[in-house]
Amino acid sequence: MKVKVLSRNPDYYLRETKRDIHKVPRNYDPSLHPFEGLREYTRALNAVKLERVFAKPFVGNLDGHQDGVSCLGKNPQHLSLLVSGSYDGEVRLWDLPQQKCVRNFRAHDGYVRGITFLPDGQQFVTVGDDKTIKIWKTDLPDWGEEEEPTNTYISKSVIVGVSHHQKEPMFATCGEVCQVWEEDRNEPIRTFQWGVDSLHDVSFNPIETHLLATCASDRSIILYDTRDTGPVRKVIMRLRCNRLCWNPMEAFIFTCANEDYNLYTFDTRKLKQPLKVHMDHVSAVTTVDYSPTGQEFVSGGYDKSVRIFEHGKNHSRDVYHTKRMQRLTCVLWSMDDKYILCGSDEMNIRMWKARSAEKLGVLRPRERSALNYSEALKEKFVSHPQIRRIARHRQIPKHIYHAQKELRTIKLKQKRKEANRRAHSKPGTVPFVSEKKQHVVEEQE
Amino acid sequence: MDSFDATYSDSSDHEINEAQHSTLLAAVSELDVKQRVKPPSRKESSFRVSEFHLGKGDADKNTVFIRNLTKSLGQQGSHAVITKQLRSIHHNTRTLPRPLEKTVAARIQRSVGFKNVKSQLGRWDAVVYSNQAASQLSFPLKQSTVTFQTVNDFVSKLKSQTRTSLEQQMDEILNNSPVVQEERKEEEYQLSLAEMCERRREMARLRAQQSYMASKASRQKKIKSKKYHRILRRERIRQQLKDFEVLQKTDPEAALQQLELLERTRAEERVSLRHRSTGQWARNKAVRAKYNKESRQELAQQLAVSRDLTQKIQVENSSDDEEEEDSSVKVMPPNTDNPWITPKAASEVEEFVSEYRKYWAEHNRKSSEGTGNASNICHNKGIDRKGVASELGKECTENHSAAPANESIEGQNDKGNEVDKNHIQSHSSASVNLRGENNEDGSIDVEIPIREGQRCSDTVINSTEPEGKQVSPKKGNSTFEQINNIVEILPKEKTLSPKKLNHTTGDVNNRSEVQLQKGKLLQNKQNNRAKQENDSAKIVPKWKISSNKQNNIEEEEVDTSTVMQLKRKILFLNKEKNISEEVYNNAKIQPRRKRMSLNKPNSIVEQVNKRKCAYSFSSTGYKSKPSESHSAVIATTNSWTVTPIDIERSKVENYSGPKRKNSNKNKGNRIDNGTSKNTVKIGELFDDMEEKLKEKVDKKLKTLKLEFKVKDKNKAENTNSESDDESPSLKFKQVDVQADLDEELNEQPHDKFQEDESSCGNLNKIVRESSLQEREQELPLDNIDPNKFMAMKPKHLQTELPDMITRGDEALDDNEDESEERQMTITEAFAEDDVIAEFRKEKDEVTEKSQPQSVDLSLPGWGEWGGKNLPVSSRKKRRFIIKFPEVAPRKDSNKGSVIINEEKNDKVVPHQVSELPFPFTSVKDFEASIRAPIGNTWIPQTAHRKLIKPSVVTKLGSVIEPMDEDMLVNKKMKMKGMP
Repeated sequence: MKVKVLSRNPDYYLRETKRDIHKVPRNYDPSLHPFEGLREYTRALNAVKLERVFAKPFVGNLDGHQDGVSCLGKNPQHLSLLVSGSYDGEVRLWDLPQQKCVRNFRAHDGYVRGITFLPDGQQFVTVGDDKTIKIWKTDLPDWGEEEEPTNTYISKSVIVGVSHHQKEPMFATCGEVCQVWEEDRNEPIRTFQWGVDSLHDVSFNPIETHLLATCASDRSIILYDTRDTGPVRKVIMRLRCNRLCWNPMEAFIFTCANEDYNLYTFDTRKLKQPLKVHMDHVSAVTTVDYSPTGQEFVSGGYDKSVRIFEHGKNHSRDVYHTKRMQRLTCVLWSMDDKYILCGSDEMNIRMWKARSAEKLGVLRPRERSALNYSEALKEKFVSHPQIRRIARHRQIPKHIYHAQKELRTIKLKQKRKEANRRAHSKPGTVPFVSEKKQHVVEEQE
Repeated sequence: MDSFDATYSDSSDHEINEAQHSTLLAAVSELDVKQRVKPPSRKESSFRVSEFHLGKGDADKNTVFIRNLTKSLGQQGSHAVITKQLRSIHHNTRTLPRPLEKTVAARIQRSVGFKNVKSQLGRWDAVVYSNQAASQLSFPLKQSTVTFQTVNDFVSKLKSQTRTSLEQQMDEILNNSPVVQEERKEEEYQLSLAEMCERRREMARLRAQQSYMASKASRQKKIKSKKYHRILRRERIRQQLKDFEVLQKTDPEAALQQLELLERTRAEERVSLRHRSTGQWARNKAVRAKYNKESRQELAQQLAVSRDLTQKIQVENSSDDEEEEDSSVKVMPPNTDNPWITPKAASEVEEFVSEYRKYWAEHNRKSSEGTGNASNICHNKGIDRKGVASELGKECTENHSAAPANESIEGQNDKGNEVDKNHIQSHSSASVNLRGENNEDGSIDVEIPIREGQRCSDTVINSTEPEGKQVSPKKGNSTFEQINNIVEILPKEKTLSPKKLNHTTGDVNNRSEVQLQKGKLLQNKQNNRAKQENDSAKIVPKWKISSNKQNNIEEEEVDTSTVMQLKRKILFLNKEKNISEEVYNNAKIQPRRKRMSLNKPNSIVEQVNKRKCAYSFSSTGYKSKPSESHSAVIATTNSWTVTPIDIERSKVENYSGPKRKNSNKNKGNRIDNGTSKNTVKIGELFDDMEEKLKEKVDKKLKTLKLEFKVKDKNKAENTNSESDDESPSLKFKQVDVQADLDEELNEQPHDKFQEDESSCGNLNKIVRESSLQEREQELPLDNIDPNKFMAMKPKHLQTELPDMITRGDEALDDNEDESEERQMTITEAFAEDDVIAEFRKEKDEVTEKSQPQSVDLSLPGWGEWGGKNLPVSSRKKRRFIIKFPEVAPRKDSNKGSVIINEEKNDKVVPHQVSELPFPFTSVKDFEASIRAPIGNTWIPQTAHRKLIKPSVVTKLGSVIEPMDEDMLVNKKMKMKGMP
């Protein structure tokens, strides 16, 4: 008797090699997939859960400074090099892949206030409390050679910040006045002054390279045109701005870190009110840096946490903190858009992943496509409450939590008071003022 | 005072220093004066020029003024010009306005500077907004050019190592060769990455096209349709012919070669037995041909192929045709063995002609009797030096009365005797089989491919008329046209231009043509009366054959009786004509006999066939069975009519058909006029329409313009209001909208987790309790008997419904009736909507469903004596029906108007979206965005890949530099085939 059995050609379901992809015949007829929505939702849910599982942003710690880290400098040409300055005047060069200090020397007496690289990445400029500007070589000095700056400029006034021009051999410093220096001149080529207050941060626009912005201690931000006119506009805020950073992809956008726990993104052409108010910090924001893609920025503050904001959003997408990290003095987004570095009061430089759950290193195509798919799913179902809940959930230190609570009550109280005032006064006398408009006091010509 | 003393003591010794003394005095005097600021004095030259250095001049008496200097000029005439100038200067000078305050000036400067900065930054709008809207951004923006180590680089490294002398020598030789140098030149301009990509893409495209072509060709090759291949072959041959013509003009040598090739194929064809009627296949076909039209056609085609292939091609063109033609006869070798090659003696020809005449006379007589139908056989034979073109046209029709063959009217057309060979072919081949048979249904159409006919005619023209320029029927000509052409050409061998010929021999031609027409007409029984009348009218000499030559061929309808009658009439006419014509033609033919094709009566067809070498293959049909081909037989059996396919012509025919129905020319003219009038009217109508349309369009345009103006104004106002914003209008609309979540992180401290939840729980409790309380309060309100509502009787209000709802003006006409009607309609509309009853029913169903059923375990018939349909015993009920324990009453059991769903799935709720996320404005859009799957389980891989494209792509391990000004100017060259 012959027994008939169902048989398949093994070619249809067997792989030739172990690495082959399984052939999966598919029928895309939607009527055959009644649960596609649900399945996709489940996948999204799993993806977002996995993201939280893999979210381990801390990469490493660079310790070596004997005093608090005051400033960081990123090399525009090389990804692996980092320069940091500390309160005791020491400058350290770090090899990031190895997480090692490759070189350290005493650059200034007192604080190192600012570090900036020259466009070629071969040299960097440091400024310190000793009123000097020094240019150093990035490369190690030869055997027997002493650590010496290639050039030293002595300024007449205190210098607290420095920023190098994107292309030309020219840098700007700030202190009592804003000065523009050329590398081969000992005297500043331009000096700008508007008002008598001191300036504590200066930043060259990386795209419209002649544009300069400084933060003054009279709570103002001043814009300069270095080519001709000098200062062109000043905007005074409620509290002073600590740091200012230009968007490297959008010429007219800059973001400043403010004392009032917020960050403000401005359009240079419309300074009456900021485009966005980014608020999540619970203490003064001291530093900010844009990602090289211009899509995000990172900020750090006195609340001992690093926050990452998306460019057009009011709230942070992530918060990084560790138990021992103290007040942040400087943050830096690496030039390959992958890492964040932060220097803090407690002498350490910490290295974080820019996207906490991202897998580092080279991805296989299938891996990449799977990750892309899960990303797309997360984006697609972002408005679903469960997914949103999981994606937005963060553990934070207690002090931040309490501070947030406190801030919330303060804000509620203010609102309530305003509402009461509005209710008990003549209509129209207590106008509604939008959040954006509240923080800018004045725009001065 | 020490210094004072010192100076004093000094002065006692020397004379007093004046300068010192004066300063001393000044210092002393200043002690009293209040103003301590000294007037400026000139000291050193400096770059700093300040407005404060320009003090008031008259403070010091020592100041020198211009007027003091010019005093010396005096009133002298020689200095008049200078004094004048000075005076004018003095007169015109005005003090400059005071410079602005420093702060004010600075502010102005700043505002101007800011304006500049703004405009400078405005340049970036386009780039920035396009990037914001882009579905994917890839960084770094500037992809550095990639350099590969080429083979040459690698080899050059090797080359640098030491080599043998031989190698070096070889290298020198090679390097000095021009080819290598050229290559080097090319290498100098290395391709950029983009160019390389472009080149690769181009190559890929070419390859793809090649593969498409290959696959297409293979597909075409597999097509089995004979028709398709036939058409293909025809097209190919047509193309070849065209090419050949072109080649003849451009490159005669190549054309000659081509000809040789053709000759070769011809020879091969002649040698082989292919395409003959002798094969088994052909014989079978021949047997079937009697009954089957298709097989007939196939056979005819087959033979046509061989004829085509064996057609001798005439190339030589000489000016003196006659001489050659004369000589050609002489040149022919007297080969007695081959009856095909034997030259025809003049006597023979004469004999032939005389016989033919006899036949003609007889034929005429018969036709005059009008007993039968006309059938004609036309044997045309062109004898040439090359002895090629012998054309035999045979058009026979057979009447159902089976009358013997009559004379052929066409026979008279001895000048224009070129009939398509196909006719001969088909006739001759089929004549064998169809001999002695009567086709009751009249005519059978044999479709002859037009092109072949053309070719035949072409070749004939080539052979008979070396000048070759006059006529070459290129369009799909019917046989008639060909005949016409030949008719025109043949007499023109004495270098007459065709036009002239038309004029000079117009009469002759036309007449002959007319006759030809008539002959055809007789053969084709399908012609109706009108056409025949028309034809008779066409005897007018100026009649053109081309205008209606298809009359004869088209129609299929047969009205035998009328046709018969008509034929008789026509034949009568023909007879007279024929006689006169015959004489004329014969007279003409005589001197040219040698090269003229001859018309023969059927009786001598065989004879001719045997003798004429020029018959070549066309006569083979006869030859194969010569004994069977009887003149009479041929005449009777050949009942096929030829229907060349010419759509255009037929169309023309159809169009001109109605005109032709009128035999009277004047009438036709009248109709023409009428139609022209009609056309005029139509034209007017069109004009009117156009005008109307124009007016309409103008109106519309005006209104549109007005609208636009209004809009523009609005816009302008808007822009005015927003002018200080200067918002750029370059913002893009996001292509694919996705939920844009911008909210605080849900941040909780590590150990606060529990506590928080508990607090949350407390909150929830509170909320629940409060809601419960509320509900309790509301409960008595809910407990209302729905019957109360039922008790309410609808009141019919007398008020009017608004016009919007009613039908407006109708209501005005008859109010009362309408209102009543309306009430009726409303009640009707809600007649079946007993909402409450329905609801109650629904509720009952739900409650019933929710009620648990008792389980019946009893087995029917078990433990009982009786049959079925017995009532279940109480004992059984007691034992085997398990009652479900009483459940709590439903929550909605007391609430009349509510159904509380107690089985609601609470687990799903937290997963559901409760409010519309930000960028979406409608639930529909949001649902659509969620509904479409993006996984490759449900959509194709390509679509999946597109949908999961990340919004930002960065290159691993590369520095992303800030945007550059190049982005403003450097437009990326768009690659071919890139999206």
